[in-house]
Amino acid sequence: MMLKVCNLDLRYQQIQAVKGVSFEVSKAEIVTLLGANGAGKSSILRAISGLIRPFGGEIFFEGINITRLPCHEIVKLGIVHVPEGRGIFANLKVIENLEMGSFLRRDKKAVRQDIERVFTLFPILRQRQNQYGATLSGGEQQMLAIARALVAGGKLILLDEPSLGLAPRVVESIFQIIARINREGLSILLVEQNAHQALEIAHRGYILETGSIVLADTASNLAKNQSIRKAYLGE
Amino acid sequence: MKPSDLVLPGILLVSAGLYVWYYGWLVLAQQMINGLQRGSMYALIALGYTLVYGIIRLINFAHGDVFMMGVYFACFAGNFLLSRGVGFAFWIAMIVAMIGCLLINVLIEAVAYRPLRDRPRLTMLITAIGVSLFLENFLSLDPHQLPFPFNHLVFGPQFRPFPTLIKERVYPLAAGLTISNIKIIDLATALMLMVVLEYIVKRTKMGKAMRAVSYDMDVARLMGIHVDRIITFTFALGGALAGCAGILYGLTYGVLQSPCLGMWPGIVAFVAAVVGGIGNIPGAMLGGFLMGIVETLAISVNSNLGYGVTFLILILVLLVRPKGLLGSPYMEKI
Ligand SMILES: Nc1ncnc2c1ncn2[C@@H]1O[C@H](COP(=O)(O)OP(=O)(O)O)[C@@H](O)[C@H]1O
Ligand SMILES: [Mg+2]
Repeated sequence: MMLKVCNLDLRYQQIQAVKGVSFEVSKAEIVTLLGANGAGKSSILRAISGLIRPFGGEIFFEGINITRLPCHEIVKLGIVHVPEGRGIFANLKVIENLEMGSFLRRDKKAVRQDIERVFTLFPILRQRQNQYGATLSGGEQQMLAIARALVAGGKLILLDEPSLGLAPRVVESIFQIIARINREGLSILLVEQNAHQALEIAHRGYILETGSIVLADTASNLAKNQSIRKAYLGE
Repeated sequence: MKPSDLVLPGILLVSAGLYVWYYGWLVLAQQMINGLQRGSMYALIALGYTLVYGIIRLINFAHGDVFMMGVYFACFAGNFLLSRGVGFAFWIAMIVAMIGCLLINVLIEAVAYRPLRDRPRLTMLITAIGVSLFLENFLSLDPHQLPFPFNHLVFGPQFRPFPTLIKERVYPLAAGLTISNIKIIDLATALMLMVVLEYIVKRTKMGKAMRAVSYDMDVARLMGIHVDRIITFTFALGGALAGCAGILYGLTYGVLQSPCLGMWPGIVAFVAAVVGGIGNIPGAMLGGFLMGIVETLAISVNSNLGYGVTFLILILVLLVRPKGLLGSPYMEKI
């Protein structure tokens, strides 16, 4: 088991955002966490990557208890979090954003190879490498965010609503790339409101409602489930 | 370009015109040279305000007192080195002052600001004022009531002469204008440090991480950037620059007036950082030189005019162009 979240409780002051959430992600798997706005999806990702401290529960990554580790140590273990809204540094160039993605890596040669690899994956970023992050379109920013996560050299990528605010065609190509990097061996925890696209590429999924998991199944079963179709696929 | 953007340049130009009409071009030119000298110190201090603001959105009101500590470090190191007849005393004392202020600034951040990082912004601001008052009053303690060794050297509000680390020589320029070796050292040192700073911020990994933290601290954390270390690094840079300003101040004015000597330069440098656009590094440099020149010109008219003009410029900038001449990257109110 790569990532194991047990009985997670998250609170903001008095407000309970997530309660008793447990789920798992195995190696080379795409797991999707679906839920409406405010269900607690981003909070769960923020707890995994160490940005917020859980009120209760435990998180294990490759057998290591990471519940109370600081962010930079969690990144070092191989968890890379692409935040909601992409989190591009607008005041840094595209290439500098990628350098920040590989901040903790000492193997300079391998980093250069990885940057070369993401430039082949996203040719537009090569053209824009000396432009500031602020000048990129939404789609390009999402590509940069994913590219930046790839050069971190992690094992598990947490993606928070990569389809947010993007045109359907762009979403399509982003999801194809997510599926592709997964086939190359990376595990992915994909948080989405766009259930349709997410269930297409995911292996398994969890449905989150107001801070609790109400359903867990394979992606194909979830896609067939009548109540899911009603709630998330607009049928 | 809005019409209000013309207010400040307009006022400055009209004042310069009146100055020339009354005193003539030569006096203006000479005072500008003197102003650049004063401005180099203000610019170095202003950089510390702007760097720290950029990273944790704090106006570090203790920064003028860190600069004051720089004058102390330079004074003691200089006296010691001169009494031993060590060569290159000025440059060694400069390094001592820079390292001393670097450590003080890092210590202030770790002790006073870090524990308050998650509190409302005002808490840290008031703490900064507290740190400032503490440093001034701690060094002003009555030496006779203190048991420490050397206490008569360090403590007390009295005036101290600053060692003559470099003998002043005045060189004539064209048309009766003069420049001195100390003016050249002040300006050259400041400019050199600015180039170094620009290189660190633009090209090095630490500098890029500083910019990343300044843009979005949480996302920087997600990159694996150890944010506390970057903040420490930023305070270290600001402290070292203030330390350098400290020795230049001692060299230029030849005195260490009192533990409160950092108050006014600190205020002017803060105004300079705001005038340039707080958080904007070239802005702080420009603002520093501009405030140095403006204050020197004002003082040459009447020795009490410097204070008023400085605050007048602050008020004008906040009224007509709150984001500063070169623009602040931050939208929030200061
Ligand atoms: N920083 C915060 N302070 C207080 N409440 C928050 C904060 N962030 C999120 N919440 C609350 O926690 C709940 C879950 O939010 P979030 O994790 O962002 O949901 P999602 O990502 O599924 O839209 C919401 O009710 C939200 O209002
Ligand atoms: Mg969210």
